[in-house]
Amino acid sequence: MTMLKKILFPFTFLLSFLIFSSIVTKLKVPILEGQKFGNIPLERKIQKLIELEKSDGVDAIILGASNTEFGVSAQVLSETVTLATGKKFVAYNFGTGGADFYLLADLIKIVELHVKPKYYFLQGYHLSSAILESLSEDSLYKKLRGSPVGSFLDYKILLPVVDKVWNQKTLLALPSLRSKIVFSVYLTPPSTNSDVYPLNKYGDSISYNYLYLNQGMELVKLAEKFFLDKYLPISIDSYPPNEDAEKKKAFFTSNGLNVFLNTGYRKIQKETSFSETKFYIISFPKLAIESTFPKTGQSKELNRRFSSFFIEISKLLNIGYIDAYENTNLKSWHVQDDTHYNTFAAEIIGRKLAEKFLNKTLPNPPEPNDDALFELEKEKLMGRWTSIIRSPKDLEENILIVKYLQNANTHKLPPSSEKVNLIIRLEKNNSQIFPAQRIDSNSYQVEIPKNLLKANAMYAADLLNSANISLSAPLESYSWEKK
Amino acid sequence: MLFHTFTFLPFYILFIACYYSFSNPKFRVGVLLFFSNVFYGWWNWKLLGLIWLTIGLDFIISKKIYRANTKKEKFRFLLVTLIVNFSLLGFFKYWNFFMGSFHSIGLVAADRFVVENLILPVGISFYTFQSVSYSLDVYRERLKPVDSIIDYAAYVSFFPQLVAGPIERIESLLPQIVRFNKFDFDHFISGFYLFSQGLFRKALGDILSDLSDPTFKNVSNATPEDIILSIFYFTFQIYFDFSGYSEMARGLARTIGIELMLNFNAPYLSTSFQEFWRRWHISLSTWLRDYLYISLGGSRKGFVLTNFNLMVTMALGGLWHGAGLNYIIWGALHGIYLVAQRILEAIFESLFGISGIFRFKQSYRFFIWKRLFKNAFGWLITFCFVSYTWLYFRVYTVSDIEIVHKKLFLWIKHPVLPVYSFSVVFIFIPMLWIYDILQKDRKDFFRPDNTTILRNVFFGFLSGVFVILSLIFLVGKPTKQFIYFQF
Repeated sequence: MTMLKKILFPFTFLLSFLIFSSIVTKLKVPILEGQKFGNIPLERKIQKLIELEKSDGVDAIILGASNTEFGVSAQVLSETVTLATGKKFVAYNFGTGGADFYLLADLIKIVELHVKPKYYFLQGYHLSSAILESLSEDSLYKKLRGSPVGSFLDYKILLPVVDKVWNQKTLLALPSLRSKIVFSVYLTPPSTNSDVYPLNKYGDSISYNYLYLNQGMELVKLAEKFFLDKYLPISIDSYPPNEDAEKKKAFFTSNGLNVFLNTGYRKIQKETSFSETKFYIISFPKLAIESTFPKTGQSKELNRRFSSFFIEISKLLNIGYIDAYENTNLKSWHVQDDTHYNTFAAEIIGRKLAEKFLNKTLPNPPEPNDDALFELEKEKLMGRWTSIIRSPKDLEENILIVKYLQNANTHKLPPSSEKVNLIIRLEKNNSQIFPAQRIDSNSYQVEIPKNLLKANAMYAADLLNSANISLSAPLESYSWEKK
Repeated sequence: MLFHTFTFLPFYILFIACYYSFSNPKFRVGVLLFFSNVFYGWWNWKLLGLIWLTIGLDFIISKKIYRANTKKEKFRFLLVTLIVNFSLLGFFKYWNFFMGSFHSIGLVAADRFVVENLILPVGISFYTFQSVSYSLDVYRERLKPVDSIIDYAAYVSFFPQLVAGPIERIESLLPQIVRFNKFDFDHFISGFYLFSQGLFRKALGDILSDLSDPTFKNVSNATPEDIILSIFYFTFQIYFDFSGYSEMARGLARTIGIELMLNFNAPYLSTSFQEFWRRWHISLSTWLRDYLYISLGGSRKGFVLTNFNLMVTMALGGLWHGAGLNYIIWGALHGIYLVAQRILEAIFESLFGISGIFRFKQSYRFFIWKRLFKNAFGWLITFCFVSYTWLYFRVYTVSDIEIVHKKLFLWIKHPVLPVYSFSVVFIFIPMLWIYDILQKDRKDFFRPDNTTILRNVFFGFLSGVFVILSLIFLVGKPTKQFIYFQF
């Protein structure tokens, strides 16, 4: 009797979970895969992938984080390879914000539900502690890692925990259920950055924004100082020089590297169900802003070490390696914020990738005269916190009101008292400058002036409701039709 | 480390495993002390030095107070511990506030003394009060000093209630810590139930915060009805958040056979301000009563001084919550309510007199008055005023307070009901209200001494429902600290 009494409490406790799980299954609660890394679910991107597979068939998938999503043009890669070989070649950009190396295997699972790619171009992730610290603040991994005990634990312990705990379907359904309970609707499946930036049919996020680099700009100087004084020396020290065989050996046989490979690239190779699939690691700098600073001996050395690292790991994994950055000569207007390149750069990198993939030199198209445009817009800038939002070429009828000023702020947020200016520019039209107020001092969110348009006011109101959403999470955007 | 995060789970499992693997009570106290230090050091291990300074100081000084031969000598030692403890508290919590205030009233030089990046040690107000009360009790000869510093440290740093209370008294908590607590399944499941209930309260508080935050973050854009609604959201948020923490703390302690005091006893059902303070944050209000209000003279020195003591106690109670004018205003307002209530009661008494009341009591009218006026009207007044006063906890700047008041007056002139679509979350507020009505002034529903088959089935399932709902409300969004952690 006593035993029965004792068992009943845990039994009914667990029973409630069983009932709950079956309710979740029955309700067919939308599960947002991206929640697991506290970032962007892929619903819309998956939809585009399915459409492209149906219409053209997909040969290659480019996989990586947001710097891949913005920084490699699958469209240019597809068109260039098709033109050069005479055979139709279609690549799709499945890069998504926050997708760190240990999440690529999950992304591949999603891809292979819909297509059977012959090639995967995988973003080259740099093995450094910085990479692990750059995860979303809300991710379980980050929370574990950020805790005092977690900081003593190796990620070979933490990553499997994240994997096991977070992959449960019922757990992934919780955010949707929450929105249903609190707001009476299931969480609208947000997509990728394409909520803010348009997405072409090849999955590329189109962004013609660029970081304005006025030489007098204090922030850029700060960013450069940070890059030269801290980032460069630390990053260089993270990678062994080629010539130091002993150091190299110690580094490449370390536990850290094996965990990195096992939880990242090796896991990807295992997850792929098609034996014919070929893998390439593609690399470009971790910080896009690097391209805007003068090349120093140290920065050249860092890039050489990066390449050397990727060559080594591609050998270990027995897969190809393409340095898609080499000799690309990227400039200020190729960078949309400190981390990401824009579509101008993506096109160049996409072409470089095509060249190296085909292993032949292709004729370069004439470069647009961006210097002139750059100079033109420089005159119209009002203050230190200025972002230029340019209308995308392929959407000339529309202009996007972009949610954040990340591209104006490199390493520091504007103080709460400071006004932020948005320059909203229509292609072939005059720029307009609108003063805008930041919603609070903890985020980059900017309230769009209400005197603009009704749609904009709605946008601001929506932002208020989602004030807790982190910068990396997608927000709705509205387009403004030219009258 | 927060109770409602995933990181707490392995910590707690490890703690339970270690705690019960020792059969010697002394080792168990050691385990408890070790884990309590890990728990506290999780935020910032450097701050462990501070808590140990308080522990060491009060441990030594209390012995000295006890051994001192004269009252004067005892007082001198007491003064040392009071000065050091409150200086530490004052420095970390109030220094920058006072320097800033001095600067704003014209003492420009005060700005130079502002300490940049000053960390506010988590729970400093709670453990300081807990430790100081021990020295005061020894001084008042209510207690003998503790023999072992390990035992004393385990009492001050007892992790379930270390950072946000309940502020326990040594005579209640220490004997429970040092005795041999055999693993008892009934205690464990009863504690687990309390924890799950507290977790649910916290989770619901977080959801309410999601609903009210947009209004409070931008009061100038909010409509008057938004403000009204958000004040009520926050009223429940702070209650669920803090009572949730207290219930979790009680639950965790109970799993190892330790009973902590009840910190909340259906406060929003109070029909007067006095009653509210008997039911809200009971451990703090009794602390303030025993060690501040009574020390000031309490109610023994006439009507005027009693009211003055009440005002001082409440204003200081407000300041205890945080370094800000808003907290002082919050405390002072509660002081005014209490004094006003006393004055009204005194007027009533002088009008009717004892015999008058007696006659009144017999009448039918009295019955109506008591039921309707005292209970319903008293409740409404208390609830509305308490809710309004929470505003000073949530809106920090003078300009925002001004905007909010303008909008409140606008709403009073032209009341409009907020138009909001129904949310299932609203069901949980009356549900917890009913829970409070049923629980009011009673022992816990599910106690170690009243487990039965039926109860185990019911409360086991209910625990599951609480945990599931908490997961739905908490998982996949940024973790919010408990509001009272900042105090």
